[in-house]
Amino acid sequence: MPRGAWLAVIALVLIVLPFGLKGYTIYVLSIAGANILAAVGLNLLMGYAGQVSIGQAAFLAIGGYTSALLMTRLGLEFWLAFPLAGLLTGATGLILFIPALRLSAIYLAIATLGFGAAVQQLIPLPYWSAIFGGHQGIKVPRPHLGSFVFDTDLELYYLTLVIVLVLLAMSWNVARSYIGRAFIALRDKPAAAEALGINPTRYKAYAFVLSAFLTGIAGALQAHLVGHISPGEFGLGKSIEIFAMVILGGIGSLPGSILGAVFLTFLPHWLEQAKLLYTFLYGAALVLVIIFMPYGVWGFFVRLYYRFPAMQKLFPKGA
Amino acid sequence: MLTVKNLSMRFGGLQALDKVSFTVSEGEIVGLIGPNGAGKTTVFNLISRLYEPTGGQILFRGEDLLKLRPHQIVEHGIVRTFQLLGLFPYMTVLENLLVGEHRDFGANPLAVALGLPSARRQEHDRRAQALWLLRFLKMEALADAFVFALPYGTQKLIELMRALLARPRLLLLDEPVAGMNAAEKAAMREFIKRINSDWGITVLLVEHDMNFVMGLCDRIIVLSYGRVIAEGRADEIQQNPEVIAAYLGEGISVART
Repeated sequence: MPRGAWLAVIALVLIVLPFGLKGYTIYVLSIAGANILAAVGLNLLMGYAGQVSIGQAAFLAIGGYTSALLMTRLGLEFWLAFPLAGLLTGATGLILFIPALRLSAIYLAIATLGFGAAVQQLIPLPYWSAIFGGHQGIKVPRPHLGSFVFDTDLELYYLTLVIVLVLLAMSWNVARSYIGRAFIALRDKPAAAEALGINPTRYKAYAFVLSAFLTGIAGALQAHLVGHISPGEFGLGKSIEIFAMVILGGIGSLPGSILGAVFLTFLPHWLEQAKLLYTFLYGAALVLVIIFMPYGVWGFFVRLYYRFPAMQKLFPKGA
Repeated sequence: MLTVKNLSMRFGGLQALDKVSFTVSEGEIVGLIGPNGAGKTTVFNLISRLYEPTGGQILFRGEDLLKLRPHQIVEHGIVRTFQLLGLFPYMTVLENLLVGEHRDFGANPLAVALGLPSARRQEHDRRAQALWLLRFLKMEALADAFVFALPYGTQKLIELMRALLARPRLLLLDEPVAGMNAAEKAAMREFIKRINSDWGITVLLVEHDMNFVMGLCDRIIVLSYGRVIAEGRADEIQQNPEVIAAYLGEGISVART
């Protein structure tokens, strides 16, 4: 089947998917959508541009609070507040870009860790608790377009679907363009990349702004889905979770990040019955995937593809 | 075209280059040779601005190269290849070639993200250019192959193609035939000759294979321990006693009792 047909099939599946599902499952699917954007945002930064960040939760928080506050405090419409939150978060990506100019991977990881911790600590300080709501956080209004309010799980799912698909298409366009190639070139052979005219400063800035933008949108989306935001959600654990989504899905592959995000969003819900063993099973699942799929879930499928000619017939190359 | 004046480079206690001076004129093929550690690649790394020299000047068409940053060199028409492959291993051949055309890209990032026609057209045109070069060398079957899976000689050729797509006036080739067999070397020699004569590209190359250098270069510069010890045509260099001493060692006659 040609590529267009595959995309149409996928779109159709996503549209009919929620029918017959419980409201709560539809809600978790929407949350997975937000996580997909966060994972893709980190993958472009880490997998493509080679810049490690374990402070991504800070961008989620900035995006979430910004969208909520633009609506409640400045009275902006959702359709304006939401993208604006992404753009403002994108601008804060430059805060990490500055240390990235001087630091190599491991040291940069520590700097981003510090950034994540600082943002999480700053939000609940008493000086501005009238705005940010301290540790309790604040209520986040439902998304709306004019007088139509996205209120039910199903309505929120379709809104999420449109937002995620649009941003995935944009991410895909960038990843496959000269910008994505410049990221990879600088990651793998910086001297050769520069000799061909790639300005490392410019493309590092692009990577951080793009990553912060996508993560900010993810944070805003999650806040509007949940209806509430508080600093407790944005600890190191959240940053590590996004990190794990990228690694499990397959670093450097955007489809992988989608799989990784969906898998790690649903895993806790599948394991809920296990109660006391929950954390153990969660950890064990991660270890098993990493041992048996060292190139991530997507890498695993790609290798299957090359091993079995039948799959190559079913999914011709380039599809 | 290229003027190197009193170029010096010191790494800690090691004087890698000591007041090296030479010129390359437009249209020439010049070989830079010398024993291991003579400083040949250091000269390349200084021209491409990877290192900051401890002294001296590099001028290219009247422009002071030392004022430029590494990514600005290509805009002035100098492109290099690397001794240990500078290809991006996890990209396909075509993608590598497209990075070679980086200076001809530059669509607005927003236009790229939104997939606007201007950005698409640019990508399309650059792809067509890269595919044209692949077809020209009868290598179009390799377009979608991953670079790391290809034979070494093929990779070397692709790196040269990538450099050509960056539209060089001066091409710096660091060991273009290292690891190649005789047939590949002959093909590479013909290709470099054509690049020079048909496309008017000036070439400065570093190479250890003496037959290759002697058969290709108009002029040869010999470096030893960071100094220029000789310069001239192939036959002049072969006769030069200092060059012979530098390559074979001065004690050679004693050893041959």
